[in-house]
Amino acid sequence: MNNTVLEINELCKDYPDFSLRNVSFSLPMGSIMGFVGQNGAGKTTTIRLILNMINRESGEIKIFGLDNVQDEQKIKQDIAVVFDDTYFVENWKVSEVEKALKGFYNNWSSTLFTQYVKSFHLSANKKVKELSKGMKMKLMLAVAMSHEARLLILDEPTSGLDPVARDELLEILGNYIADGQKSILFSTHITSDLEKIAHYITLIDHGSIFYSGTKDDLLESFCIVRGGPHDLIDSLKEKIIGLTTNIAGFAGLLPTSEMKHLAPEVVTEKPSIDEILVSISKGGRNYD
Amino acid sequence: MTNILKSIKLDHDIMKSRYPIFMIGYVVGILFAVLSKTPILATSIVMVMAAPLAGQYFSIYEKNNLEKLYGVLPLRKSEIVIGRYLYALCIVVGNGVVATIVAYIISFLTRSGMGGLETLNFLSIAFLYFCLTIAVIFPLYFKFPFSKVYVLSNLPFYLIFIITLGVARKTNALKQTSSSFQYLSSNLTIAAIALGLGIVLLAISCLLSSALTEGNRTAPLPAKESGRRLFFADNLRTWMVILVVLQHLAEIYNTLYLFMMLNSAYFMGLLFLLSGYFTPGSFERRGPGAFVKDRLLRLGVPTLIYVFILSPIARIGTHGFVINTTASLFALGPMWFAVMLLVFDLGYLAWRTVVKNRPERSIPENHTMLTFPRVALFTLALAAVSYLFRIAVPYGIPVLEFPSLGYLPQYLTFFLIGMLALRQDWLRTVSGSLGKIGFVLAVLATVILFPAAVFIGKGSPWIGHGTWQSAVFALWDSVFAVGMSLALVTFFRRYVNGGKKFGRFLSHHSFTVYVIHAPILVFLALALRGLQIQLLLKFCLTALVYLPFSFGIAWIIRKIPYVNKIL
Repeated sequence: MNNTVLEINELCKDYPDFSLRNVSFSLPMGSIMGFVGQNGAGKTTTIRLILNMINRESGEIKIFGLDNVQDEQKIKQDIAVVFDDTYFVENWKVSEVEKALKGFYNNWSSTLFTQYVKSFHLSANKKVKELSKGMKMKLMLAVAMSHEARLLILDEPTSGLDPVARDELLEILGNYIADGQKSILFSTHITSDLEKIAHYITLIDHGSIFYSGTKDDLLESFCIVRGGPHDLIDSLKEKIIGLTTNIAGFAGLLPTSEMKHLAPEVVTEKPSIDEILVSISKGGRNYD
Repeated sequence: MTNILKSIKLDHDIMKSRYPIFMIGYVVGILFAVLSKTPILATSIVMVMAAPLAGQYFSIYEKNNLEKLYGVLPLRKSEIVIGRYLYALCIVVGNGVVATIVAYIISFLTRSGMGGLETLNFLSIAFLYFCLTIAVIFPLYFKFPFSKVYVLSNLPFYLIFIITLGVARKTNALKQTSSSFQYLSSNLTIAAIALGLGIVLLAISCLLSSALTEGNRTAPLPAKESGRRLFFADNLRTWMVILVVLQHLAEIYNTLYLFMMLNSAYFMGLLFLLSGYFTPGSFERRGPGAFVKDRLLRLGVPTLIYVFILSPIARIGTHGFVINTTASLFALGPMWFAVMLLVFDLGYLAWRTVVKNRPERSIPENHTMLTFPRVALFTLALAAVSYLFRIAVPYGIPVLEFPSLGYLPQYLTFFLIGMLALRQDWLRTVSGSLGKIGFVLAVLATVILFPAAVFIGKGSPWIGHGTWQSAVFALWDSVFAVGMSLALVTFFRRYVNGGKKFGRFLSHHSFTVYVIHAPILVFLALALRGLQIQLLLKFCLTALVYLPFSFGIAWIIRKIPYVNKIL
């Protein structure tokens, strides 16, 4: 059996002011992939393409080995999505959300939904509009998990959430993939969440994939370099990503393969995903 | 259960909170049926009104991000579109059945007959009308955001319905048209044609909507709204100026008294509110010196131009050269608004000087929300102050060329509320439901308080002098002004928020129209003096000619060098 849940190949989408260019990555079963990029990098466009909400120019998206357009209905039985804001009618009560949606899913379990509602402390009689942002996110999760979706897509679910709610979400997600049969694509620009739970990271910048692979490989593939003004020689300058200079010296991201050419005075540190993201968003430009 | 049935059920789940709105159709229908002694009219009206109400689905869709919900659900796009049309059919059939039962009850109670064939003809024509409406508006709603096309898409159908109803009542069209029509209506032909045509229209429209939905999938993501210019505030100001013009036109023709009273209860207040909203920004951008210079240039100079040039022209137009006093020749006219606004602006400048020009606070993260209790408290306070003020300055009595000084408490507080609205971001954040509540309260106040104040007692005790009628009147106009302002702000924000070229053109020229409208109106009225038609018709005709004409004149005037620095 194919062990890949989501496979995207050479995906392109053009808008007048933005293009998604040859996006390719894959998500193995039983894992969490952080889909990272600054605002406007192309994360939501990619997710809308995965869900076939918009037409693509070219490329291929396979989910559970099936084409996402040809087999859309079949695939969507096993996909669940949590967006940054609720997509239920605000006048619906929590119980009415279930009534409205359960008919669409073959695997819907009302028992499971009731369990989630209870464990998330959601009141069945409360209207959607009366829920806090954190509670709305939990309601979307309850819906997502009640039909045993094998692929859970999260599109910026943590933006606007307080640290406690974000921590709760991470715990829920950890439990969700525990059986090894489910996978999560977690789009966010709050990378600290991913440091805790992601197995894989895909970095997207200005519509192109910068990196896609395991989180550990990513963190080992790059290092942060810092040094004085005289340490910044021209050959190093060309290799540093997101170079920042000031009178005290310079800092930037360097592929670890280039570390051997460094002068001993230059300090290297292990980067965070956030630092990598900031550096690639600056690109090759010199920020004084 | 197939996916289309699931889609219909979901549409029902989504729409059910709006079902009470359908009661409007029943109330109007029953009223017409009883008054016209034609019970089946109730069914027709319910079915006709069901079409735009069915379109409300798209309003909920837009407000609740349902595009995302449908993106997640295992449904084909075509199933969603077909489901939507079938759901609309369910709505018209369901309401048609219930309304027919109501019509039979009316027929029984009023002892007016309801023939089987007549009933069928009425039903089938109403069904055709419903299908025609849906066939036109649904593709528009599938293609464009609901809030952008709602008003324009429905307006023609309301007009057609009203005109048809009027013509049918005057001429009894169904019976007095040609013999062939009578023949058709005497058997089932009309019903068969209407039903068949209705279904065909829906089918064609459904195909069109499917194609449009597919087209939408290539559209870029909508831009974020935050930080966007408030085009609706500009559009609302333009609309207020148009109302001022219509008000003065109605005064010239001495018609539409209720329209004039309702207008004057809120429209200048709302203009002051919008002016107050933009005042702090202008001060911040320019600084105190340039702010005063700008105000004097934009408010003072046009006032002088009006008083010394336009007013004499208008007076000579109406009275010839026989003028008794220079006072009547050099009148302030509608520019009282500019003078009062200049005074308010200077007051604002004085306040900023007192607080040592401390910068306006930027919009706080957790700004104070505009809630119903706050609005109610303000309205009651405004009513109390207006009542007390009118003891000294009664409603409708001009003071120093200010024709409506009885409304000074409203003008001043609305100006201040405008500034507060900027600080608390109320124009963006006031909830749509508060706008609806405002409108309902404005209507209720007009139905209950307005007649109680105006029609009880001899003379005009409601204008002031501390009478109880004056208190009721002050309460009415305060509720009406606040309610209509909330309703219009939320309505324009939702439906008239375009910043297209045409809207910008109107907005840029609206103040010029305000300044020049009086003399142009006088001469246009003089030109149409010989036209012997009903006053109301004449009013409509003049308005239709005047509005584009005045914006045209304003455009020419603003082309004169340096004029656009003033107007």
